[in-house]
Amino acid sequence: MQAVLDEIIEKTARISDDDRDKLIQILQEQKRKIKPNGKKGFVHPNTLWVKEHHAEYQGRYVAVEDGKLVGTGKNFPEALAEAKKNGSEKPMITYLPRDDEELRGGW
Amino acid sequence: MSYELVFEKLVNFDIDKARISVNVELRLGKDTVNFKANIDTGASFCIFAREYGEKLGISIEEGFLRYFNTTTGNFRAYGHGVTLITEGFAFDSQVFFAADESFQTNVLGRRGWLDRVIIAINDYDGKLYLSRYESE
Repeated sequence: MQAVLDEIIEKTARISDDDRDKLIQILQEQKRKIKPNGKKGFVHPNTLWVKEHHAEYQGRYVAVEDGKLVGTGKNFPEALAEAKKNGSEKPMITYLPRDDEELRGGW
Repeated sequence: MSYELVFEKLVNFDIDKARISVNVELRLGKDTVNFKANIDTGASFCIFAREYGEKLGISIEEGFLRYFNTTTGNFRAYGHGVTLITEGFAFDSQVFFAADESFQTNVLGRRGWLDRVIIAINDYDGKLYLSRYESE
């Protein structure tokens, strides 16, 4: 195994910086590869609030902190301003789409 | 008439790549995950591969379910609250993780990122100018 490793090290010393970056990325991905964790993982309290209340605020921005609503607005700055006015320091701000709104996954 | 904008950051991107991508860090508690994501004005939200959510320890299917349309069909994704950091700007935001493991596209979309930054793109020179909206 050490011989293989030595050979890889020797070869990677000769590759370009771009190829080295690619190799680093691939190795990091291999190291990080994990299996799906099903429903055993973590859900943020703010996510739970969104799931429970999205229908009430659809089409608007909401500011949520520690699972509680701290502000609303028609856009990000409005929701942020109201959250700060209510003493919130680090709210999650998100738009809640209408149920009939088409969401696009990109170009 | 001319217009002038002042930006806080200048990010160089590779003009030989098909898309404009920036460094992204997602944070949840003490866990972080780093990768590159493409800026996509055609994406309604920020949408990432599920593996990144799982690396943060998130239970993907317990998020806020939405369906996203594309030119070839639609896919399922789940919204979760995380801290989204791009080029030093941190936002507590809702991002979506694709349900399908084979979905490997990572996009910074309108809601959750573009709605809280100001950007200018000089594609010819590979330069992205960036500011956060609230710092105006």
